Parts: sequence; C-alpha cells; structure tokens
Amino acid sequence: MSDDDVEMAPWKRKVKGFWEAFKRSKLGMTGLILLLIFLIIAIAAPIIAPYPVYGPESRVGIPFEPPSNEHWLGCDELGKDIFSQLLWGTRVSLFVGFLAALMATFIGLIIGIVSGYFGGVIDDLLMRITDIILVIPGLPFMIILAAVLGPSIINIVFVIGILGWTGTARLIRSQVLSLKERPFVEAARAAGASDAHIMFKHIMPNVMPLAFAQMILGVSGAVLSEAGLSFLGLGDPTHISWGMMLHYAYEFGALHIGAWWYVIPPGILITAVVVAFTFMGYAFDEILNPKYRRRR
Amino acid sequence: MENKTVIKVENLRKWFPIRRSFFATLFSKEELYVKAVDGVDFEIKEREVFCLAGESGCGKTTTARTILRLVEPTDGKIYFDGDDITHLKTKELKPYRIKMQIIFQDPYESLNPRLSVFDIVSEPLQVNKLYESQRELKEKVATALEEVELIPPERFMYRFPHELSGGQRQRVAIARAIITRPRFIAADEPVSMLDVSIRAEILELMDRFKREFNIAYLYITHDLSTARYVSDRIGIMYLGKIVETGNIDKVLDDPQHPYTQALISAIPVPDPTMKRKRVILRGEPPNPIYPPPGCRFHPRCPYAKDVCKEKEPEMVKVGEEHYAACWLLS
Amino acid sequence: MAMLEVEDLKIYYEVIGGDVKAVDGVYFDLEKGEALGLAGESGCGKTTAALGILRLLPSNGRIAGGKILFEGKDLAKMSEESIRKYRWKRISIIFQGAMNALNPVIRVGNQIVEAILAHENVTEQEAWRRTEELFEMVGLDPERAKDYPHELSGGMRQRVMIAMALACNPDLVIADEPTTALDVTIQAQVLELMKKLQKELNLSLILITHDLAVIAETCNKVAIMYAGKIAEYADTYTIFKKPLHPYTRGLIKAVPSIKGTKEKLVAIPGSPPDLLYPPPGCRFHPRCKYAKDICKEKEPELTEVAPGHYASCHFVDEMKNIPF
Repeated sequence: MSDDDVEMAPWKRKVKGFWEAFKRSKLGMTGLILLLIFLIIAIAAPIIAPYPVYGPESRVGIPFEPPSNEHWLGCDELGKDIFSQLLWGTRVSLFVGFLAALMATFIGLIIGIVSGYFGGVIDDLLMRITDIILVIPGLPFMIILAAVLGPSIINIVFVIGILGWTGTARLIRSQVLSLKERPFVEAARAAGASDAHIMFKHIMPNVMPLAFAQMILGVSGAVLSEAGLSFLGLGDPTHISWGMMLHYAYEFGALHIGAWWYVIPPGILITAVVVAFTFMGYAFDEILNPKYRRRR
Repeated sequence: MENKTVIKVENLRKWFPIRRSFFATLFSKEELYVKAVDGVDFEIKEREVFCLAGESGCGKTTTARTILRLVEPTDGKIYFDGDDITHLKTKELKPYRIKMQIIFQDPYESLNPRLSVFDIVSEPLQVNKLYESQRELKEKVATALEEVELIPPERFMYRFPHELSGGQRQRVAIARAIITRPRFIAADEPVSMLDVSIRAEILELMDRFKREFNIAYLYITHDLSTARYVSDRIGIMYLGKIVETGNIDKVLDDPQHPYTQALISAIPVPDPTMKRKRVILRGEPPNPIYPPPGCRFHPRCPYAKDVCKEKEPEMVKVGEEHYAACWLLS
Repeated sequence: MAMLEVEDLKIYYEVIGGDVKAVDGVYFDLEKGEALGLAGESGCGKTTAALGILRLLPSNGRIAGGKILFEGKDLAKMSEESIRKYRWKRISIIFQGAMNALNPVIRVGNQIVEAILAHENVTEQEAWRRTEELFEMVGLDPERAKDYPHELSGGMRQRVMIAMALACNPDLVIADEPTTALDVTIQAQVLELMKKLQKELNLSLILITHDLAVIAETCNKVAIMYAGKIAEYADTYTIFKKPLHPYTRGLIKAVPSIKGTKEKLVAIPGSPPDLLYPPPGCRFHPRCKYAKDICKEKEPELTEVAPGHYASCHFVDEMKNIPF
C-alpha cells in the first residue's frame, strides 16, 4: 500500500479496492457494460427513439408491417414502431426491477438483522412468517395481489417487493448469527454499546455487501416477474414495458401470422437484462461474500 | 500505601443450560448444565496482575466474561471498587462499563473489519458520550494511538484492520481498551496469536499502563511460561474451580497441587540442556456437564485416595501467599 | 550422502502483482533417524518448504529452483506419477489442523484402511489388522477404530493422524504444527509418543513449529527460517546456547521459559516483511540492531561457520565476539 492511499478517505479506499477486484471479473464487467448500455437507452429513449410511442401520432406504419428501412423492427397491431417501443420499454423494466429489488432487499435486511441478532421468540416469529411467505406459490399469489390492487407500476413494484425478501432475510440472518458471536461485538458490548448501536454500527456494515449482491441478483428476478405479470395482462396499460409488448403480441396473434419481429426482440432484451444483473450479482457475490473471501 | 482492591469475586458460578431435543425433555425432567465456572473466589488490587490459567474448557474465559457482565452470573458476587455489580441492570451498569475493559486473543476477530481504526478506538467514547466535540474526539483518539506507540497517529487513524500487522492490530485493541482510562482490564490471551518476536512489546505496553493508570489486570492464559513474566499472582483452574492460587513464583516454582505439578512439568522448555522429570497425565479433562464427584481431578490424579472420590477438598494454606485445594495437603 | 538433502530450494506463489517468494533458497539435510526442527514466525515459509518436499503445493505455487534429493533422487524434477510412489509410502505428512480434517461420517479405522488400500497392494483384512496394530502403537484402544471422529477427543484424533501417517511404514514423517491446537498436558502426551515412535521405528522427522520450546525438547537439529530463507542452521544445542545470527538470538531472547532465571523478555522491533516486496540485501536488516550499510545492499550467503553450523549474516565473525 502506498502512502497516498492512506491519506485517502476510508470510504474512497473501500470503493477503490472494490473496483480493483471487480475490474478483474470478466463476468462482472460484461454485466456492467450491458447494464450501462441499457441505462443510457432508458435515459435517452425520448431522444434516440425514431418515432413517438404514446398518443395517436404514434401510429406511424401499417399494422404488423415487417421490418424495413423506415421501421427497423417493423410495426405492431396498431402500426406503432416496435424499435421505438423497445427503447421506451427499457425505462419501465429497469425502474420496476430496481425499485422492487430495493424494497425486497430492505425488508429482508431489516428482518434478517433483527431476527438473527435478538434470536429467541423474535427470531422464531419472524422466521415462521418468512417460511409462510416462502411456501406461498409466488406467481399465483402475485397475480391475485396485482388483480386486487389494480394495474399500476407502483402496485407491480409493491407486489414483487413484498414477496421477494425471504431469501435475503434468511441469508442475512445466518450471517448475523455468526457475526454476533464474533469478539468485536462482545468488545462493543463491553464498551457499553446498546443493541441498536451494535446492530447498525457493527452488524449492518458487515452484511451490507451481501445485501447489495442480493439486490443486484434480485433485480433480474424482479424484471422477470414484471414481464410475467405484464404478459398475463396485469401490467400498467398506460406504460410500455417489454412484458406488455409480449402481452399484446400474444393477444393479437402475432405468432399466428408469423410476426416474429414483435415477439423475439422483447424476449431477447428481457433475457439480456436478466443476464446482465445475474453476471454482476455473481461478481459482487464473489468479491463481497465473506464465504469466498480469504483472510489475508 | 496499601493498594485498593478493584475486583473481588466470591463463589462465582456460571452454569450454561444445555438445549436439549424435544424428545429428551419428554423422557427426563432433569435440567442439564455445563458448569463452566463453579465456585471461584479471588480479588485483584490496583497495579496488580492476577493470572487465571488452565487448559481449554476450564472456565477461565467464562470467568472473565462473567465479571464484565457479558454473560449473567448464575450465583456468587462480583464487586467493583467495593460496589456489588452482580445484578445491576444495563442502565445502572453503564458507569461501570467505562471502567472495565477487555482485550481479546485474536486481533483479527476483535476488530470490526469494516470500521476504521478511528471508529474502533473512539467507540467507547462515542457510545458513552464522553466527548464535547469532534475535535476533542479526534484528539483523544490520537493520544490513545500515541500511547500504544502507533506513531504518527494520523497515519493509522483511517486505516482498516486488514491493513495492519497482527501486532499493530493488538495495539489498536489496547488503545480502545485504555481510552476510557479503565480501572480494570481483562486480557484474554492477549499475545497468544502473535508471533513470538513481538509478544514482549505488547506485554511491556500493558505493563506500562498498569503503572501509569493504576490498572488491575485479569490476565487469562493457557501459557504459563508467559504468565510467569507478567503476573503477580496466579490461580490455576481445573474444570470450573481454582485448585491452587498464590504468588506467581511460589506457585510455579513449588507447585503443591498434583494438577499444577503435572501442568508445569508438561510445558516444554526452550533449553535443550535442561532435563526434567515429566509427569504425563493420563486421559483428558472430563465432561463439565458431569464433573466427577469429590475432587474433580481424582480420575487423572496419580495420587488419588478414597477420600478424593467422595469429598471435595477445601482450599488450605500451604505457605506464605500460597493456597491449594488437595486432600494430600490437608 | 544424507537421506534427504534440500539444496537452494525456491518456491514461489503467483499472485496479482507478482511472485511471492515464500521459500527463496533453503538448505537442510536429514539422516535416517534424525529429527529436524523447522522454526520461524508465521509467514516465514516453513510450511511451504515442507509441502514443497512432497510437491503438495497449491495450484498457484511452483518450485522455482533448487533440488530436493531423497536418497539421491530429485523429487523436484520427478514426474507427478513417480512422486506419487513416494508420498505416504516413503514420506508422509501430518498437516496442520489435520485432526479436524478427518471425514466426520466415516469411522476413523475405515479412513486409515482406505489410505492403506490406496497405497499398498494388500487385502482389506490385512489392512484392518495393520490398522489395529497402528492404534496400539499410538496408544489407542483398537476398539476405538470403530468410532466416528466426533467421538474422539482432540488428543485422540491427533493420535489417529499419527497412526495414519505411519500406515505405510514411511521413512520420513513431516509434521506441521502437530500439537499447536492441543492443550499442554495433551501436547506432552503427543510429543512423548512421537519421540518414542521416532526412536523405535528409526524414523526421520521434520517438525515444523513456531514453538522453539517444543523443538528444544524433540529435535537433534534446527533450521531457523526468516522471510523465506534459512537464517541459521545447526544442532539444537548450538542454536539455543551459542546462536550467531542476530535473528536467532532475538528469537531465543523473546521466548519465555517456565524454568530458570526470569530474564527480561526482549522483542524484536518491527514485523516480518511482505514477501511480495522483500527488503533488499539481508531480509532481516530493517529489524536488526547490528545492521550496517552492506546489509542493506548485499544479500548474505549461508556459510559454514563451524562444522555443521551455518548462518547467513555478513557479520557472523563479529557476532562470535558479542556475547549472547
């Protein structure tokens, strides 16, 4: 370690160290580049999309028009440009994915820490709730919940988030169980630290990386769930997402008339986003999960 | 001037209940306990190092954790500066927490890897609100780091534990322990994880604080050779009880209890010219859930008599500042 | 010629940022029936050197030079296939913490039987008989061979490991910190056993430990390692009573003793170097109180200062006049 490094603020060195390790992961870098491309598309969709996608002026072609120079990926049943819709759809997919994963991870983190740290009755109670949610068949329950709450993006986020925290909670709890036995926790207690202080100052920073890796992995699950719910017609009809596109494609018989340009591109993009986050999640896990890390 | 007694424990017991399976509880009502500490008495004065020594599982670490009230005592009394702290509630205990600190064996484990040295050392001040301003906090941390010879402090303050050597880490742990100016420090094998060549420095540091801040130390170790150099008095523990206690030189040079004798003779000596008669003990320490009746050492004792199997021996005076609990000596 | 001769052994680990020269020019030799202590602080390369003898290095480690002559044959250059004939049968190793590496779901006896069957062409019955003999040899009731590892105490498991190391009648046993995890009274039992077996079976032993006192009681000669090199190498008496290398002297002054006069313990200032960037010249110079300019520039050679007594220090002659 050079002297400059020591002068840097601690968090900066942490980030730098993480980045050094992440750069070496081919999987992680592939995922990151993919994700950056999608982020740029999501932000710049209004500028780079060749045609409008909302409102009556979005009907720019002939229904089910095959790909051409004007419409790279053809048109849908209303004559809307599919390429432009794909670009716009990135926004909803990423938004729902991130927010739902954030919500799930947050719930999982808090439940995992509280459950693991206090143990006893609290642990039993929280873990039984986790078990119950874990055994509820996910998709049917999501369908019911989404149908009851009504179709909106926020409801989709809520539905995915409220069902997706169980794995994280269990993982965090098991980590906390071993962390709370470590001498540094006892040292803090000997210094007079309260439970809240120990949980937030000592335990939380040690499980944050794990929670972060879980969140990144969770995004891909959330993107898939969103696509699934939307495909089943439970998505928000006022916004374009890749799942909604697949839903309409199915509903209007795109497959029957051989309009592959309506079905395959959204599928590829969903897969690409899922792959990007999964790759990154694995890379993060490898760097941050204490199980894989060796003591120096 | 007579030094004041800082820590005094009387008949201290810590029994850990054993979690049993559901079926086991159906068939027997008997509650089972690991009798980790089972009736221990001693006191430690200012500027004194009392060593609690014994093999793994003898209860020495549990004794220290119980005194610091990190685990709840089952029975007995703990006095700090004459105040009974045995059953104080968390809030009432706070003023005492500041004055009692602990140093652990493994400096890799006792420092939170995600916190910087500054966060670690300042923690006792932070959780007890013992500072007026950030500036004061920083100055106090700097002073503590200087005291443990991590110089210049600015170079160490913002490092993380993994960026330090084992010896430096243990210095950080000591800085955390002394920053509140405690009266009592329990040091649990403070040097046994460190390389031999740097142990002496750490021990010297602890010795200096003992003299400067009038600290009373409870030094916990399995390493009698090191204990010999740092302690004033010693208690030899076996299966939750102290079997022999007294002045360190008297106990180590002229051990009276057969267990102490065997323990000392088993320790290798770094001198190939020294030929010694070795008492090899048979077997291993018994299960602390079912300690043997009578003297706990009798199943392994080469001199065991009938009385040893039936009645527990009392602690008797065997010399000036030297006590042992054995039927051979009564 | 000695049974084992290690000459200028170099073992490097490839890591990000370069090679860690964990072992960088190590010499020692061993006759039949001798016990050699390999001592040094954590990270000095003692375990690596031992693993290197049997070529049991992790995948990023390699032998970068030197010879390991066992009965005249160079193990360092042998094919993987031929070295397998030496492992366990001629040279066996008791790994650090191995007693916790026993498979928890297989009876300890079966684990030894399997090891025998894997290396020797015998029937299962013979292997069992041999296992029972081994159990008696290491002071365990042969009945215990039917136990699972968790039914045995730490000391007993370590005896099982010793039995396993002796299963194929090796000539050389390498023991890496065989008693470090044990309590002193159990350590005494195990060391006593190892001494007895070594004498009875005329074994050669390499004992790797950081505990100089254990070496003083068990070994005929000692190699003191520092930062991947041999600092000093001699018979046990010379190392403990007439050491010449400043590091050896420092180390011995730092070791407490339960007997004898209580001299003040003296630490060696600083800590061992990072082997990715070892200091130039003598690797010990930043911690050496006698260091001069030459120590910072030139690496000292391991030289024979008296018959059988080797040290690598530029001022080894001057050290003779500085009383220990």
